[in-house]
Amino acid sequence: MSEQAVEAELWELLCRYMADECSEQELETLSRRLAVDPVACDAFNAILSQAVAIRDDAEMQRAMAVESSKPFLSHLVRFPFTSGAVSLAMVALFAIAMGWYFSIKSHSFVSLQIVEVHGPSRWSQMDGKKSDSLQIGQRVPFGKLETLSDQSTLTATFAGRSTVSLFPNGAAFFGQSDGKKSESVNFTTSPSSHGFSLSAENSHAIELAFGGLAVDAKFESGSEGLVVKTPAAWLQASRARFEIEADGSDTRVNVFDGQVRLQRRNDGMEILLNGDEQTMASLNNQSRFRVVSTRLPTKAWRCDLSKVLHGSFGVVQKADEARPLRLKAQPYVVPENNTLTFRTSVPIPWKGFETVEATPGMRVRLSGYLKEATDIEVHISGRVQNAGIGCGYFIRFTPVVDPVSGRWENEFLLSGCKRVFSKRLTKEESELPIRINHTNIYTIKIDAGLEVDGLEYIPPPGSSLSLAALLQR
Amino acid sequence: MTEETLVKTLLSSRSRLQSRALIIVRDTHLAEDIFQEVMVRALQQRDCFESAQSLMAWTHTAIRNLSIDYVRRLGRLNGILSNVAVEAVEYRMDRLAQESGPREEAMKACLERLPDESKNLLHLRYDKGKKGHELACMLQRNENAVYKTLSRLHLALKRCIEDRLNHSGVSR
Repeated sequence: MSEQAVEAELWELLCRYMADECSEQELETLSRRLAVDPVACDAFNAILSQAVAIRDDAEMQRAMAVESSKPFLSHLVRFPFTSGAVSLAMVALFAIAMGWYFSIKSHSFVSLQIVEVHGPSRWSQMDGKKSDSLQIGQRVPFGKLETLSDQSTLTATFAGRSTVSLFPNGAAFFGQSDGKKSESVNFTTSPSSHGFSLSAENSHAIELAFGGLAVDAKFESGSEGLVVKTPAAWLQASRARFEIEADGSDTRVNVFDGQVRLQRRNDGMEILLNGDEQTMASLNNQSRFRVVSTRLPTKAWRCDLSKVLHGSFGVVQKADEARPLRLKAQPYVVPENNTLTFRTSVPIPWKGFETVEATPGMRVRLSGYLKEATDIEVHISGRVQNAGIGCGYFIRFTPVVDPVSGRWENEFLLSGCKRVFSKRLTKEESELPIRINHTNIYTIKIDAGLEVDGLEYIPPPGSSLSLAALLQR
Repeated sequence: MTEETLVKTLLSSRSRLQSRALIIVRDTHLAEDIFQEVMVRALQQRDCFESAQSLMAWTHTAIRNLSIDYVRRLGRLNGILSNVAVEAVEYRMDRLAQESGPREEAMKACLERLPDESKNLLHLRYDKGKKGHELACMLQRNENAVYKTLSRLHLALKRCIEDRLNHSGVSR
């Protein structure tokens, strides 16, 4: 291959990487090349700086377009009222405009009222204004809601008595739908979080971009109720309590009570889910829906690092003769307190219907490697099932590190951890099961070369494994 | 560090810092969000920065962490370059930083000279976030042809910028 052809291939590959349309093999090739070839790095830097400049240029053109519409308006405003008739006409026009404005306002709902905030979160309005300090009791117009950390949760009421809770690291748009199906929720969203608009008349609508959401929909039976759009599915419910988890290709829905209609977006296949049922809609799957009972939690769980890498945090260290596959801690600034940590994070993969419930007497077993002995802190994040309440378990320990191999192992009781909830629980809520989502293992301020190769949730001796756990073995 | 110095320092490196985020997030709007977020955080703790160097070192780490965090939340962590590759690109980026002023001027001039059709394609890709397959659909061409055109446009822009810099006496 000529030098020119090689160069052309590299530039094409870089363009594909920029669009996230590289195969795994291409990504590996590109990584290897960039790591050793300054010319390739310079080519990539050229594309990066051009991309930023192109976006700035587009922004500038938009600004100029707005500016160019100003002279007409400003001329109109400056024009002196030469006669009483013109003044009267202007007053009438103003009155009509105000009437129209308020009629639109009264129809176009949507305000959410914040009832719980825990951890950093953000509200972005249609015009791009952002608010990072949401207060309990605050009313917010429609727009985008984000929870910005592993511990953030946010609960809001809407349409009277309905509530919605956004789980950690999630993003959702709130608005109204026009009541039709398919592309009915007339969300016009830009490709990023930067700008968006919503329009609609009838039902309330939520677009969950990613993350988890708990909904308690309390609409009149038979009404359009609530429509939730995710990348993989449409959901509709008027009276139901349910949870949704979504990423770019899959959506898992757990219905606790009531009925939820689900339509898969890639082929339009529909299913009606009842209480205690869960299913998954996937853009990569066109087979019939698999419906699983929500009453069969997985009480024991052992992490298989090769299967949970999706959604994990840390750099994968391939297995070698001395050590198995493991996750290496990476720097991470905790948004709540700006503390620098070196962290790995292992999710309980929701795509396999795995639901690990925290039970009394449950133990957690951890293992890995450390380059220097230091304290390790563990934060287990979960949520009170179907109550939209975040829960965190914290524990810090000093591991015994093998001086030669650097290996450490530790086991602790979940009940021995400090437990924090995003709100004070009522008696009823305190009896609900707690579902574990993520396990974060980290050192604070010190990069001690932490690596994790094992994580296990072990039920107390004598407790039988659930059917779901047995089936998964 | 005063608020004014901090803002000036960060704004003067805005393009480069957004490019840094772009290595990982690959979305120009997200890169800007990250830049703004880092700026707010830097302002909140401006007393910790004794010099522009310490501010930039902190900013680089914060941008990297936030970018990874965003990508992780989008479930795209497996689609990013290796750590070593990212560091290599950042290293070269910092080496080119000294001439960023004239380079940005040259970039503007070269963008202005682009034919409308080419400019529209680049706007669709980097401002509207349309991917190769979407552009292929819109333009009724195949995806490979779209990427070929995009890569040629980037290369042409790079050459145009270099010509201008050489002409004005700034070396590559």
